[in-house]
Amino acid sequence: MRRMPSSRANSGIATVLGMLIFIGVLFTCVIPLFLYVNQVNSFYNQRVVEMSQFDQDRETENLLVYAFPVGNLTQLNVYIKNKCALEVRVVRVWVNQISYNISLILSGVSEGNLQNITISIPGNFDIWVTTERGNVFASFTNTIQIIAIGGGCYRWVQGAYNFGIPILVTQSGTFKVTVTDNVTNPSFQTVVNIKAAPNAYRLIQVPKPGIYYINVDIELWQTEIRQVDWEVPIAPQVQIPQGP
Amino acid sequence: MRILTDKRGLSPVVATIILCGVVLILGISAWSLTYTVSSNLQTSYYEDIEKQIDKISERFTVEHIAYNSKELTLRVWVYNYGDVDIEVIQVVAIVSTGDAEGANNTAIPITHGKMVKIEISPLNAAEGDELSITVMSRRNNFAYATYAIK
Repeated sequence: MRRMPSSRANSGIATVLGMLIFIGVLFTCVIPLFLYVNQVNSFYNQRVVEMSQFDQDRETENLLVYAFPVGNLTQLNVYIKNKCALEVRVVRVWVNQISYNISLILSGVSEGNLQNITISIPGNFDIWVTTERGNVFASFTNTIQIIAIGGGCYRWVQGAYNFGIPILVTQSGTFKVTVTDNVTNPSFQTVVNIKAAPNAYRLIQVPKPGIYYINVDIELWQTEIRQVDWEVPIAPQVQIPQGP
Repeated sequence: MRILTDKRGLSPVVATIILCGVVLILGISAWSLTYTVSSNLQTSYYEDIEKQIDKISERFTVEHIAYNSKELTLRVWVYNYGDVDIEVIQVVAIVSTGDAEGANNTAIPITHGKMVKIEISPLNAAEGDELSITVMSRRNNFAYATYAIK
């Protein structure tokens, strides 16, 4: 007696085929899709991290810019001090509304000069420099005023308070900051009281470039019984880069 | 000759072939459909993410501003310091007193690393006025700046 194939056997073959197709779909469509999406997400996340780093680098940039006229005052020199650890590329210098494309690379904590930028005198001149990362730094000597004094001569008028010493306090207390140009016989002396809780910033303006001596007395808050006098030695000397 | 005349067992074989055929046809159709859908999903997802990446990669700033009171023209220099090209679609300047407002709605492309001057005219502002300036890009990013007229 011969056995005839049953319907269960028929469906068994079809089930195996169906399963093979399902596995095929799984391995050729679904899993690659997941892997691809993961890869694209990783790419996106990587870009986010890169841009965060870029923004952080941009925030870190810190240039000190001093512009001053030279020679017969028809040209400007710009001294740039890179105060940060990053390499900074200066791509543009502005004199009022005129920009000059340049490429000055300043490695970390270094300095550079832009020389002989021709200006049309007399007039008032504001100078800025732009970095590759999109920061704009103004010259500390802005606004440079050059006036005619007759006889074809010109004079650079330096504002009495074009220069300043930035004081940054990073702890709490009351500070008495004394700035003098000479310890024994000062011709310039200014005293500033700063209350910091805990941070404070003051710009103490000085009349001209030179060497200044800073003395700081600190008093803690009145809740403190003992009074602490902290004196920065006379040694801290702040010398603003000399002009022409 | 018996094999040709004996029809017993033929139906199950035909049924098996038909069932397998149906499974194969349906399965391959489903496979093909799934493959097409997943390919399209991959492409559209990548394009969406690429747009997002371009959006977050955009970096531009207002580098310089100048106002000419004779021409009643405000000049805004926009610097694209990012890695992707941008298109500025609107620059708006509002005087702090609220008396005047000006805009430039011309679409202006700026390639990466380049600076472009954009003018807003007329803008009626007086000496001492403060201006609030907003620059908008096609990808909906913004750059803001203020300027005091002197």
